[in-house]
Amino acid sequence: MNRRDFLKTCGLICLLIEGKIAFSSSTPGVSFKRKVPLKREDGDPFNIKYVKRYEPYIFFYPYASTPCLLVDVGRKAEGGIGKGSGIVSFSLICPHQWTFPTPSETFITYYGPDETSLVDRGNVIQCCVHMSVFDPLKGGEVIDGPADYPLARILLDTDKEGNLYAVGVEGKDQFHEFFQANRSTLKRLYGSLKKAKEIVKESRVIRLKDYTGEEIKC
Amino acid sequence: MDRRGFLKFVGISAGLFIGSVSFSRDLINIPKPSPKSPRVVVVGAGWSGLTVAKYIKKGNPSVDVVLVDKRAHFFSCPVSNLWLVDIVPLEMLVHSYLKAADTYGYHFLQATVIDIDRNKRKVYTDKGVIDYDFLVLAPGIDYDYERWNIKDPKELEIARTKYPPAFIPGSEHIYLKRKIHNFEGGEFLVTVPPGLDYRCIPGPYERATLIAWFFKKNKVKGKVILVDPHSDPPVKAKGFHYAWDKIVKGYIDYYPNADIKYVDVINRKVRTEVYGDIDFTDGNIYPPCRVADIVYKIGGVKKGERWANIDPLKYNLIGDERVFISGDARNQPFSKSGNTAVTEAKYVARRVLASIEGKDIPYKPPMTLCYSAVDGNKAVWVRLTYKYENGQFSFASVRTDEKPSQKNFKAYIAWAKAHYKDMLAADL
Repeated sequence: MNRRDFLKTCGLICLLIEGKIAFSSSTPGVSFKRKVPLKREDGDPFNIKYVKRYEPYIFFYPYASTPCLLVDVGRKAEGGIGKGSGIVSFSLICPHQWTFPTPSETFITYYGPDETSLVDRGNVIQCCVHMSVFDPLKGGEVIDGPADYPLARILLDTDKEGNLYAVGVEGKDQFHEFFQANRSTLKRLYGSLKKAKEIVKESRVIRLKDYTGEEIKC
Repeated sequence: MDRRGFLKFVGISAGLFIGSVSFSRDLINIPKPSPKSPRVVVVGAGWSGLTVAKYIKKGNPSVDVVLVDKRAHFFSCPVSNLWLVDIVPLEMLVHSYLKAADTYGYHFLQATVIDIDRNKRKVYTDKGVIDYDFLVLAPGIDYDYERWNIKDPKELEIARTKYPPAFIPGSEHIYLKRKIHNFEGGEFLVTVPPGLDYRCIPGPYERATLIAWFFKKNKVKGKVILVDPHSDPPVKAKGFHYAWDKIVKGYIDYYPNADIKYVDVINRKVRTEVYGDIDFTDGNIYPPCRVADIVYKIGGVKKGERWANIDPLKYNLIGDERVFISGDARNQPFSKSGNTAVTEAKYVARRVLASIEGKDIPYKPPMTLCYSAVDGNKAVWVRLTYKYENGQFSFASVRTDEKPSQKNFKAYIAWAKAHYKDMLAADL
């Protein structure tokens, strides 16, 4: 293959990728970019005004099976949006060993400001399988426990009406490891790994407690 | 097929390079990613060895990693108490080494290590010889029956085979399970080793509790006698006492402060100072522990000690910068448990990678998170973090939930499954 053909092939591959998803970004630390509207359960746009303070919500982005947390932490948070800059979103896959919420239960969840945690404070995200604790006020950084990486941040945006969009993933996402570690569970939940790996075009936002049967806290 | 050919195809499971593996009588030539790739041989494919192998390869794919174990398949010691009494299936505990090697890109060699020449940097196995640039020994524990005066060869044989401790995974566990299930009545002995340097500190207490629960559930006219040199369980004491008082009352008798002097395995008596001779019908004799033989063999244990003589922060054998020792073989005063081994192994992997590059890394202590079941669906836990100050280790934090609950039990199962997925690419 000569240089011209090589570049042509590269261009074609890039176009194919662009048609499905764009992985590259000019923003440092952004591993993934795609604008996806967040929706209510009835299909209407999910407006930023629906986010109730300290209530954890879940939606799936960028893949059909990769869960994200949406929460208003009630005070200014790193990367937060909204009136008080407290609305943040994180990939709800524990970067330690890829625990995630399922319809039956979740071991990883948000703890409100009045709740206790392993670090003697609230307003944290904690995974009770191996007890890693993350700070939603500081971009999901690890406060305690065995996790080597922070939670990956989900970048949010709004339109002029205040409707919410997920627009990208920042930080070290764990999607490859997540799919590898949870093959059987994902096949059971989604019918096949292919379906679990489908890129979402829109995503429904629901309260975490309505999605999962039990929030297991420690 | 001759021996040479047989070993070529069966003896070595090479994760990425199985197609071009060759064998010579003396040297096993496992291909490297490149001729200049440094090789790390990891001996022992337990929780520590598996994690070290995975994370060295993940940290630097150009390093050649060979994981060696005498077993063909992984059998988990953590959670095995639940299997003994049918709370979890065997499929949860047993996993493929080859799948882990294939998934993570290192070699797995099923072989028994016979000796190590540290000068020539060679590991001698029953399948041949392997060269190494760096060696990680994670061989785990062996049993030290002499400390309970079980010295006679016949008595030793009986202790090992008829009353296996079942803290080294495999046939010991299978035999113990058969004994528990066939027990028709009387006193079923469970012993606890002295001190804190035995594998799985709460393990014997969890086991005794679950056997008692099993007897109660199956209306066995017998009880567990738990003979313990400690004054109380060193961890999760409230949780175990709750279980003994509320869940398995009448099915367990606890003998604390029992300074065990001798176990007469022929006449089935435990000799103690405080209680005199305690009779038993059948049982599970867990004696004191020491490091596995191979570490003694390479001169890695100081005279009079029982654990590897290593730098407490760097993990290398004293006097040898190319040999590291991790997992339960270590001499630091951490709990000898799966979670401790895994968190430590990630640090050891980073340390080996740094050594390959001639660099140093800051010390990071391990973390212990240990669940214990007290019946078929309730558990308690303890979480310990460590720090090193003024030349000594101490706890940085101690957290515990000693109220038996179903949510803790669910977390226990999730804890184990996540580890199996991480270490072994297990499909659970």
